[in-house]
Amino acid sequence: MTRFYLVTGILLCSLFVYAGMRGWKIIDPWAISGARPTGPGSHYHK
Amino acid sequence: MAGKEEAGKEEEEEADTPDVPKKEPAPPKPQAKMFACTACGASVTIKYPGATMAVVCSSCNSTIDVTSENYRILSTYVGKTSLFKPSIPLGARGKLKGKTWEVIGFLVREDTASKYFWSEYLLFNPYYGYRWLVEDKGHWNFVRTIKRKPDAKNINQYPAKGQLAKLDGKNYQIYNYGTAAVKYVLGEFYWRVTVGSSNLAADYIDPPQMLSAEKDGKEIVWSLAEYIDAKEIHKAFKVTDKFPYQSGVPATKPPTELKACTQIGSLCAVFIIFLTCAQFYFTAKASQQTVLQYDGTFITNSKKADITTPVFSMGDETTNAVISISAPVSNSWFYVSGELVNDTDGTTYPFEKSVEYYSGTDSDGFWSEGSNTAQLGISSIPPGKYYINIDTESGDFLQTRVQQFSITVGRNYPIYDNYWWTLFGLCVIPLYSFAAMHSVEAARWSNSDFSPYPDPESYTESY
Repeated sequence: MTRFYLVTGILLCSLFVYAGMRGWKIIDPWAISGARPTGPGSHYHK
Repeated sequence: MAGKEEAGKEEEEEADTPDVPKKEPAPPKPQAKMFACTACGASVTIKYPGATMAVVCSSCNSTIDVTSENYRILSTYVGKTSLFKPSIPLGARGKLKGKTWEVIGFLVREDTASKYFWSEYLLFNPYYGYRWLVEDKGHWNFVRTIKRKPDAKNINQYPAKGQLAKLDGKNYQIYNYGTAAVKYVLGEFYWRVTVGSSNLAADYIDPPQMLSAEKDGKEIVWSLAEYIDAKEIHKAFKVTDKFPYQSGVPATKPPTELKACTQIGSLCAVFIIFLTCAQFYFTAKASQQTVLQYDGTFITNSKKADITTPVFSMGDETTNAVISISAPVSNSWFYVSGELVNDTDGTTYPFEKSVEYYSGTDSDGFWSEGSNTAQLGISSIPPGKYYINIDTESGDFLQTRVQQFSITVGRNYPIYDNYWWTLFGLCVIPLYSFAAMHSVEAARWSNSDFSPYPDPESYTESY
């Protein structure tokens, strides 16, 4: 179990550092992700 | 171990003793001696006449003193019992700890207070002397008597909880104390064993080892036991029958859970220190820069569409954005539906948010709910130029009027949620490991009167 925890811990810490560098909230149930525009009809796009 | 002074050879450091063969020599030819049992007349064989002082007649189970001219009977046992049958047959030979041993004796002993019993097997090697295998609830220990006297309190006094015996720099904690009596015997022994004879005994443990003291008359004999896997014994002696079923956690079970818990705990501490330092770094590095401050107007109780903010820069690295919306609502609401749009490739990040504030007074006094400001975050926005499109809507039961609102966009804010979630994730396995360790250790000590763990049955509830 110790080895498993070592691997898991390293993965979690790596994920934390990656998220911190990219400004990414890891657990975000209401996360907003980018979408490509589907074409004219809704909002005005410059 | 049962018995008086060690009649065999020195056990300790025997590999370094010049007169003890380094390579185990071939076993000697047996020089058996036969005579007629004094009790029943059956033929009794002694395999090692020079070393054996007592032998049990396999016919009537009487214990015979073979040093006596008339083969005096030490104790008689009326009838055999199938309750006590050795798992390793007498005469079986097997290699343990690099040496060949022959099972020459079998004992069943019990604690006189609790009537709890266990089995002991006397092993013999003509060059290396005697050892014991002790079987208790299917778990086995390999035991040797030791000449050195551990640093321990007088065995005559009832020990205090947590009392220690020290040997070779290790601390052994008191586990059992009581009187052990011989209940059943078979085979040959190096002392005049009698059924019913008893010794004061104390056991101290430092898993996987146990230090035992037995007082026989005025002399105290110390022995050192070490946990041994049942499979190793089964294979060594080529036993055909199954061994006793294993139940419970034995006193000398190797502390693998404790060792794992300690290692995992240390790792957890390292991870938490790293995580905390990383969080401090990211917090210090976060510029929390305001990239857009837009002020607009809205008319209460109406909708407004297609508001577009000026273009602003989200910097030159991927980061998060925090959008704050403020409006002077009072017992009213202001709703924004918008999208953050990349000016270069048109990627949109749609969002919606309400700003609401209500207040009043009732029998308990003043109350309020909500706020004039609302915030939302968007993760991992690529670098580049952006603008925001918004539609607004509001509700105000009081009147229709023009109000102002503002939208502020900030970038590169510290995220604290990641720290707490990662901390939670890092603590799951250590907590499980601790629970497993605690469970095993509590089970180990459940058979001891000196358990450092509280007895669940002693809990009382009061209503």
